[in-house]
Amino acid sequence: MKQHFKRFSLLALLASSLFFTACKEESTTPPVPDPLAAYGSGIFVVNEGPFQNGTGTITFINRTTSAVEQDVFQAANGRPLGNVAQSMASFGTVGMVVVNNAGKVEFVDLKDFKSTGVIENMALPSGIVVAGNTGKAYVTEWVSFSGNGRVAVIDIASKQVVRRIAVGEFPNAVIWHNNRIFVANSNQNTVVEIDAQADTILRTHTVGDRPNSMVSVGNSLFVLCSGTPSWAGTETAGALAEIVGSQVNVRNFTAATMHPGNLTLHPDGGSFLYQLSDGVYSLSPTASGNINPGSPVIARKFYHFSADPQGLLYGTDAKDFVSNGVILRYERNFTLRDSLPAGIAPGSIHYR
Amino acid sequence: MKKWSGFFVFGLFVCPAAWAQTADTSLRLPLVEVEEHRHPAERQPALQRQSPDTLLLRALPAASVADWLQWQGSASLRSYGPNGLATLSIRGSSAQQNTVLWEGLPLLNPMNGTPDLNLYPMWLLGGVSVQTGSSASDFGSGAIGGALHFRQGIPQKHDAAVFTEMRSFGDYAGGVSASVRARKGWYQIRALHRSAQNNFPYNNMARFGNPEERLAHAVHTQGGLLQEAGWQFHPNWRLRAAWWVQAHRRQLPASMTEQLSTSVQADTAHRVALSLTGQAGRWQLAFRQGYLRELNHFFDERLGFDERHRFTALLQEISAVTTVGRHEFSQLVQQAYYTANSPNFNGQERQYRLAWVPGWRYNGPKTTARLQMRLETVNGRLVPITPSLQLEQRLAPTLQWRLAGSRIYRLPGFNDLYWQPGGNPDLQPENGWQAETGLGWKNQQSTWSFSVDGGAFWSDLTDWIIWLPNSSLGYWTPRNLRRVQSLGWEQQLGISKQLGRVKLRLHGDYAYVATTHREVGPGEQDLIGKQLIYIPKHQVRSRFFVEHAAFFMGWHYSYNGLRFTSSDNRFFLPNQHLHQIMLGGSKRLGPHVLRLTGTIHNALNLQYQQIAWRPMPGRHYQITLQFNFNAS
Repeated sequence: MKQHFKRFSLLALLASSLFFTACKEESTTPPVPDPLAAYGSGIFVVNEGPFQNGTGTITFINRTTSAVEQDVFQAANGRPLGNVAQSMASFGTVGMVVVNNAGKVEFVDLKDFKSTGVIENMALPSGIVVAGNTGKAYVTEWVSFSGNGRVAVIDIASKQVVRRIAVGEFPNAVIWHNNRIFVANSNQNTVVEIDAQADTILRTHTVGDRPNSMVSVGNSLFVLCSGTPSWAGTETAGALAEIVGSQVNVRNFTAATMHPGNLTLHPDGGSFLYQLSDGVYSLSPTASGNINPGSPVIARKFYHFSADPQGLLYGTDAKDFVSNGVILRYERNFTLRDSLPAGIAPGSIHYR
Repeated sequence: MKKWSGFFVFGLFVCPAAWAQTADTSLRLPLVEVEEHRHPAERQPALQRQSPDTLLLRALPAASVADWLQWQGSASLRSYGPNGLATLSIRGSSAQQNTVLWEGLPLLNPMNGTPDLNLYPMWLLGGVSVQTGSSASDFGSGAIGGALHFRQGIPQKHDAAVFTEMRSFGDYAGGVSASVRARKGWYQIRALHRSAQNNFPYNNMARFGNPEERLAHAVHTQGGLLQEAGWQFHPNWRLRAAWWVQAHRRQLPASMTEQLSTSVQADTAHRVALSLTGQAGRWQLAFRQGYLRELNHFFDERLGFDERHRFTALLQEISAVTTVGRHEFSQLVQQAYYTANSPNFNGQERQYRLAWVPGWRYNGPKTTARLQMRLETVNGRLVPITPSLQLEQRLAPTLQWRLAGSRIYRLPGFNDLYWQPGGNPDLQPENGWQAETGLGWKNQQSTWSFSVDGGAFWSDLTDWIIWLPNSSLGYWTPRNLRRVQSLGWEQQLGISKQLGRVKLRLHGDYAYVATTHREVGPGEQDLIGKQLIYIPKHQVRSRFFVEHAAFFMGWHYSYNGLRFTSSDNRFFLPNQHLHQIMLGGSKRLGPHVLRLTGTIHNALNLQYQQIAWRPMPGRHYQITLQFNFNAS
């Protein structure tokens, strides 16, 4: 079994740096959710499930009542979601869940979470983002563990892949920014910019090593890069790259041993939050020079950390990865509010 | 290698005398009669040992050790499918906490320490048994739950056998064996080839409507050859040499919740064992040497990975036993030198182990007692000293009581220590204590026999190694985080009755195993008291055979209670009841015997899984034709 750990390590690395892509969709004007939908508004925790021999699940949290529903996909459809659930996005009353090893995107109706269709035969799909009001979604596909990946362009209405765009190695995080799609090649040091009208690559930006998460703020796209860890070659420090048009400004972390992840925008909008090995740190978007993290605002490491644009901060604890994890909710001032149960390996969160 | 230069002048710490009678009650397989000098740790009282029924071997000659343990004994099996990885759990142990010995030499892969029981065909191995509990701990690292023994017997005459079998889902196997016996020597050879498509239908519960699908990408081929030669060059001295080569290629199918799999595992193994045993004065001596060279090759063109993991092991041991009156003294010195190459290591990793195992045994008229101690160093560092004590008392002519206890440990594997990234060179061995007691009663009359045996066991293991993702570093890393306690009860019942020309045999094994977390890592407190995953609390194996002259009918029943698949015990696989039916007959043709056997596997067509989302085949069939030359 351990012979597979290289693959698992890579999966874990990629899973641990997942997705802050959908959280900026509010910068566009998506269709108004149906107020009668049971899952029209709330927090969707995407639980990966056990590696290989398990299934991912979705935990739904009612933002108002804090009521938690476990495994809403299985409950609604009488079958498991698949292995390994990676990410989720939504458009109107359509929810889309990306399931990596199962090679599919499941479509659900957010009125009741019943399946409305599926796109199968995808090549290790990972991240997903909805492209504003275009009616399209973009799904990153790793394709293999040793070569370039691609992006599948999905027509949400017909549930069809209408185009595929070749990108770099391990395309993971994907975001909608300034009417364009940006894809982070997480095993390289590049971010690909795609014209969402023509679905062609406009340019490739060079950022830091191993970009893992992105946040859109006005005209700037901030890309957090973990740097290369010591086990993967010459160790390099993490970095934060700011992309404005064709310009890229890269700020490195002060030590090569700092490998940040999970960039998210504080709900107040005035600062970034990200994770290092010992906790969650805050960073001003307007600061300059190399990044010295200082002290953590939350001295705890999470499997996934992100902020609900409408409220609280969410960190997940995957425990031993073969038992249900928990979700820890923090106030905006970083005090712990409560904890809620999740499924196995809660690896990403979709806020709606 | 300098370490080896002085091996054969290794000092022996021995006392004078001769063998005493062993209390071992191991069953023997066909073709063998004479017992080879045994490893001192196998010469214990309070020995719990189980061997396959000979009728099972007759009906399923190409069966693997996993096929046997599915139906017989008290061990629990976890299988990824008929061609997949199959691991063993004895008394709540993990897959790595059991050891495998071939001719007394440890056979485990030092990289992961996990024996794959589907890769050990019983046709090649000749003699197979599983030893459970405290008496196995003397075999050192990993012998926590128990030890699997593979041991060739010595042929008593010229004979030969050939078989062919066909099984559903494109499963074909064939094998030959031959033995030559001379006054001062012998030679035997066994060969096996098996190929299976494993494209069985199953209902995919992970898809809408539970559609019927066929397992894809599950072809398995394997071949093996085992030769052994012996020379009785002196009335008191015997030299044996064995060579076992085996190769297999296994497509790794996708689970129900995965889209597809295109990964392949292709392994080869060369194993050599040499032994010199005999008696010098009052000393009973044994010198053993083994060499293992194995390659594990994983590749997947679609996903773009191709990895080769190699290891070699050079194993040597000297044992000496002597008796003084009712007291027997034994000494055992073992050394092992392992090397491993993997793309996941920083170059070649090496490990040198040296162990000294002194022992004392008392053979009284009603009491047998044994005390043994194992002291071992690994790369010069002393690992936990493991004493063990066994006591057996005959309370009545047919009633025996046993008591045993020992310290147990398991060294971290090379993957635990050196895997890049994540390997943790600071890992401590898993270690703890175990104890057991039990009563056995056996009554044998001219036309019937009855035996019943029951015993309780307990173990407490700390520094349990668990791999957990370190999300700050982005990879998994092992840590000594948990303490696990096992409590249980094992019950056996055996009845046989001769009714004229009809012989009836009934045997049953029941095991209750409660294996729970007692201490856990930070944030895992809700796991305390929870049963470990894939270990059923209740398990039953039973078999019933009716033999009449040249015909037999057999029925196997296997029950596994629910098995949790998540460590918080929220998810589980349900109870499963499996049945297997065998019918066979034989025809004597002069000195030769022709045997024909038919088997219905999973007779009630149960849809089940042993590992979550890994389907197992429903009802299917097998027919076996075997011809034994010069069978007596």
